[in-house]
Amino acid sequence: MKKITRILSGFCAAALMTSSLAGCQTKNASSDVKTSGKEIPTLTVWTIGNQPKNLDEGLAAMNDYTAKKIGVKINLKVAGWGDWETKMNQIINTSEYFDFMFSDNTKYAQQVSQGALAEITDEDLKAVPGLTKLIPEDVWSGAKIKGKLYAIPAYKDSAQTEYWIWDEAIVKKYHIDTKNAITLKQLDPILREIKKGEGAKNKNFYPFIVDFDGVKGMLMNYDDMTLGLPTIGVRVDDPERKVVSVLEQPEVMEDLSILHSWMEDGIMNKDAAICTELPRYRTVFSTQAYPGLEKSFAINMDISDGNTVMEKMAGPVYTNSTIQGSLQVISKQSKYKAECLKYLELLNTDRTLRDMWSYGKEGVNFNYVDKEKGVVKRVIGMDWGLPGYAQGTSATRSVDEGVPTDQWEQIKKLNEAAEKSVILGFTFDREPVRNEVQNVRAVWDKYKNNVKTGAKDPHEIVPQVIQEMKAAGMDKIIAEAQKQIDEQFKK
Amino acid sequence: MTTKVTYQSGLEKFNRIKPGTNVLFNFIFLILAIMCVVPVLFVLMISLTSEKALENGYQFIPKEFSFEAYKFLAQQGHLIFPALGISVFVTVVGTVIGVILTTTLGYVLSRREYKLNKLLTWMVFIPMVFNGGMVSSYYINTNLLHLKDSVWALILPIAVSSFNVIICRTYFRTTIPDSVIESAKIDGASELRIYFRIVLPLSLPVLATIGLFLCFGYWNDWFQSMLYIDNQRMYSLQALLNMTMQNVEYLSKNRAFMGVEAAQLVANLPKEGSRMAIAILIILPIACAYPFFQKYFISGLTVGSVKE
Repeated sequence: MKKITRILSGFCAAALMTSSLAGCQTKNASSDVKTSGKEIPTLTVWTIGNQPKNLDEGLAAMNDYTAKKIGVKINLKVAGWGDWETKMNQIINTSEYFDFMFSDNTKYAQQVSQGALAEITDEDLKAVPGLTKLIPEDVWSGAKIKGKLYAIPAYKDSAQTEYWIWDEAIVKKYHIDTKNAITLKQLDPILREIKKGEGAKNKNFYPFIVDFDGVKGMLMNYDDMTLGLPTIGVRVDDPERKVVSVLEQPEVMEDLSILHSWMEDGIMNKDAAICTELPRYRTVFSTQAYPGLEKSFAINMDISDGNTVMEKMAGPVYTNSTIQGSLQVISKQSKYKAECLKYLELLNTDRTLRDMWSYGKEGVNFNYVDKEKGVVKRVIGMDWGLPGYAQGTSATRSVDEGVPTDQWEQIKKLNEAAEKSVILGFTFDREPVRNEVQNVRAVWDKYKNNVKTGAKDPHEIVPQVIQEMKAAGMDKIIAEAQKQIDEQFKK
Repeated sequence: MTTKVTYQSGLEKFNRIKPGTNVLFNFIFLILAIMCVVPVLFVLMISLTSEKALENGYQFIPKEFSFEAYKFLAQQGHLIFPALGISVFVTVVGTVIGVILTTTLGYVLSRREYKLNKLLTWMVFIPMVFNGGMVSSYYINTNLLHLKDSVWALILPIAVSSFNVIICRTYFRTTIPDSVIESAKIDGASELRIYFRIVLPLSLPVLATIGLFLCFGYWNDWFQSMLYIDNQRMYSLQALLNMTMQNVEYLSKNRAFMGVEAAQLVANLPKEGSRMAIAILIILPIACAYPFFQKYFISGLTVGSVKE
């Protein structure tokens, strides 16, 4: 008996000690905020990228500028690309304090359903006319969840447009009609001819090279409902808004079969499923782009003397995922919601601040070549490391030297011409099927490289993948998604 | 000449393995050794291959040797050397702290006359089977202990593991005879003196084992850095490597939704060769640490110290 009381009292003492410790710590933290909050509030901000060498210096310049302009400072923290997901999960799960952070289609819906984000009401938006004027209605609606807004989307190349990029020399040599070489089926005879011609000299020549991700843009006609699971989606132009199993669609199956035959016949690189690094030069490849980039691609491909030919492959398409590719979300706990919005307004409308975020400190990380038009040259070896796309619009941002100065006009044209996904504005609430989504994703992760690159015969592997996904609960996800879509679009 | 012990004479003759088995064992171990060494060699060769040659696939003997990858590392020195410094500091300090904490706790738990022995053993044992999960430990470490963004966040959370404590406890219980401790007590030694002068010197093998576990654990750890360090300049080398690897994954996965900039970001990533060079940089110091620990794996220290 005596022993037990002694042990118990020991526990009590320990508990008391920790709780008293906790008490004094939280007090400290809150008083900190108060003292700094009196005059100029400092917002805690998370972004993504590689931490710049001179982050402190660049940040000081930013803070000087914004303190004068709107009376707000920030403490900028950078999460590495790969760490970002885990770190942000921890911050959200443990309600660690932050004011605003970068989010994207893979995390946004989840953060909203966890109740971590502050809703941005129409009232709030009235205070920031710069943002409402800049960002068009479609983009706002793509950032909404169940009709409510929790994020400021970055208005950039929000519509996805994929292009085929050809080496011009090859196009001329083989008299390729690039306009009629859009689908894989149309490409098939052309690539076989190139292989015959070029492959005669070098048997290791592959006219078509992809990495483990497969052909970029192949599945882009399906809106993945921000699930990040390309096997379930709604065709962007399907008026019925039917949720389907993407891999089982005949046209997808056909593309995969063609890829597999290319792999078999040496048209495509054999190591595609495990290839993480693409060679600089490729005869033809697909990528996201906008008109006018021919010469830049040629330089990237190491054929500076030559040129490239660009042909639109698919798009432009607005889906929720493409719009949610870059968002700034405000924490529910933030004491400075209005200041956050004001800061984001300035970031999206003021070129000086916009350039500081994406290029660093003037004179150290970059120099203006033409301040009027907004052309910058980065200082070699002083890479700022923070990607512009994750911060805000590209409308106000200067461009790198060599990039067409009318970049934004071109992008804007594509955005305005973009076809809207039939379910734009719908974000799948995955809470009811959370486990199923996780399980199906695990199955997909296991097979995706072999499927997307055609490394295995699709007639064998696809049924197997589908079967495993069904066992993992794919049908339930489809049914739930269909139910939610029907509910939202019934009216 | 006559004193020379030949292979066939004396005890050796009886403890010998059959020649056939001997060959077989050698063969098995040879294969195992090759399986361990070949990937490392391969990584080394890739790191020495020129970028151009890599485009045509990996080769054991590269067509074109080049030190490009290591030059790239040297250029990235402002990132890599501080990270290396942090890794070394964390490994050395962490191993020392960890070994002290683990063995003292293990020793106390091994003493039968200690009153709270049972309770504490359970308290150590239970978290080994069920742990509290990442969220709770993150919460405790950041909000209560305020370990964020400091080098201690890399050291303290993984300094003592239940598993190591149990190993120590079992070792002290089974190999240090009670009579040895009792004799020291009779001679008037204090508890601390017994521990440092009698028990520890007899326990070199277990110290080396725990030290080796901890040393590898600290050196290979990247997760603590990722969780608790916000400033990428304070990342350990492993965390830096992991981050580099993950970047490739993230950029390709989310490419479609990032826009045109994605292609440019991918082009700026360190190339395969450089990543392999970082891997080599990580392997080297730890490979040197292993032989240092190995000499302490001696058994039978206490054989014959007690006559029952």
